[in-house]
Amino acid sequence: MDIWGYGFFIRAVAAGVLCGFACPLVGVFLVARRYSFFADALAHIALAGVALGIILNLSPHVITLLVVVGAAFAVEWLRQRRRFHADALLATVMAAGLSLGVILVSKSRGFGADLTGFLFGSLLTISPIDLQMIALLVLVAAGTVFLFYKHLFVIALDEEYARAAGLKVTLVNTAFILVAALTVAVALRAVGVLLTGALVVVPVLIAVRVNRSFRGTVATAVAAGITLVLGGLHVAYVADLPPGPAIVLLGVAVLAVIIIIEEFYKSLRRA
Amino acid sequence: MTDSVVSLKDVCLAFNGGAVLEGVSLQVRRGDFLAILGPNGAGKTTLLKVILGLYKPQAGEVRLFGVDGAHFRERYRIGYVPQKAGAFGDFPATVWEVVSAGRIARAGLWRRLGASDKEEINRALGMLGITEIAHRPVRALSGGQRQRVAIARALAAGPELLLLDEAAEGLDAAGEEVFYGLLERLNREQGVSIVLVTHDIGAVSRRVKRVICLNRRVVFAGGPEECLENGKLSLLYGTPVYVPARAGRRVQKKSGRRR
Repeated sequence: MDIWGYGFFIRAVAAGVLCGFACPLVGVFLVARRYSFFADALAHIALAGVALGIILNLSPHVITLLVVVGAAFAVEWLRQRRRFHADALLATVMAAGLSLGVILVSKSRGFGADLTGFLFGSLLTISPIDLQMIALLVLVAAGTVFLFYKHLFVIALDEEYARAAGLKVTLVNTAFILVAALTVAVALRAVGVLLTGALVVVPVLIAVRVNRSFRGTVATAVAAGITLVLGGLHVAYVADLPPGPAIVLLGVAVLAVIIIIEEFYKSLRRA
Repeated sequence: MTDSVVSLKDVCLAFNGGAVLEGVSLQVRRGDFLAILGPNGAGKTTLLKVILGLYKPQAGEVRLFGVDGAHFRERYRIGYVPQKAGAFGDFPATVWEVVSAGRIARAGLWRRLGASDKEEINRALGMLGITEIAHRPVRALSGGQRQRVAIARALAAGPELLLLDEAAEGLDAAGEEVFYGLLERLNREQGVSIVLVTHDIGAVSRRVKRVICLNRRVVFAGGPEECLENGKLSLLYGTPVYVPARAGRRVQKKSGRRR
């Protein structure tokens, strides 16, 4: 039977494409604001949410979503009000989230083989209900980004200028933080705790190398995200690899090739 | 319609217990061209940020266009060129996109940019002489060109008051001439009120109508000629200051040396 005849594969592709679309869409604004680790930090905290859900015998996905959204607002509050350096703050949150997650995992029973799925994603086990949930979250995330696109751009360029110019920065930031948290929650299903940050950032880095405009960067990043997910799934199927790491490694390979080509042209120009 | 654009009365602001502004009062009227001089740490940038609503004073009153600063909503009426405004980072964005940011702020949350907005963006690009590089990425520009982009962004909103924080930094001599000429035209022909934080004594002596010397409090307020005479600047900076014989030179802060 052809692989496309299996429902689980079609659902994996659909969920992957949705993640490949949403992650870079949010990632563009995170990278532009030098806040790339935000998604990674939230993803690491998500492990604690998963473990908490299992300990409390509640749906790990719902608890994870709540934990990620709560953590996202807490991190943003710390950044805004307590004036932490973003990189140091996110590094601390990431380490704390992972540590808390590991401790909770060690205290919970019933994780077993699922742990690998939570760490590296489990696209192939997505149920129809999961897919509907992912589609809904991606719709909300994408709709919010499109609604506030212009303002997100101005804030990404220079937040202080945006405030001085009278933009509703707090409102837009709040909406964006919620969107980022939803996107991370979605990406966890595709590539897991350890690789979510890569799916958010790597397509953006690819787009940044080949674009001159912000709008072009957004379009290229989204296209790259979807292409990487489809390509990664294909590689995973052909080479019998786990899909999450295959998607991320394909992205890193594309980025490496672009950088090598750039350097080659630079050296030609210098010569 | 009120003639007062900015009115500060006894504004006090402290950070971590250290006073930055102590009882600062000043008026900016329609059509004013005002320079703020003062040593580093005198509170010049902070003063601009108070006017912009970025900092809330702990005491005193701020009124913008006759409205209490806390309730002033038409922020697009105030154009702002921050210190190191050209530091846009290296993320891709074209000159046109960056300048459009000024107009986006004016359009508000729900209105799309229309033909008139695009006209204003193109006009701002033209005023700064950067129309030809409108579609180039900002990250590929020189520091001076980026500074022009930042000024164009402020002008794109069609401000009635322009606040510039050392905005001529990074411009070459020709760029400075264009910059100050543009400010004079905006002030004279369009009645835009201008508040300029600067260390450029040459510009102060030749271009502005009024000067405020600030060192946490207003040390002097008056015309540029009065400001530059009788050692007022030496008093302000706490060290002998030689007013340059030729225009365009910077404040010399160290005693015994001339540039």
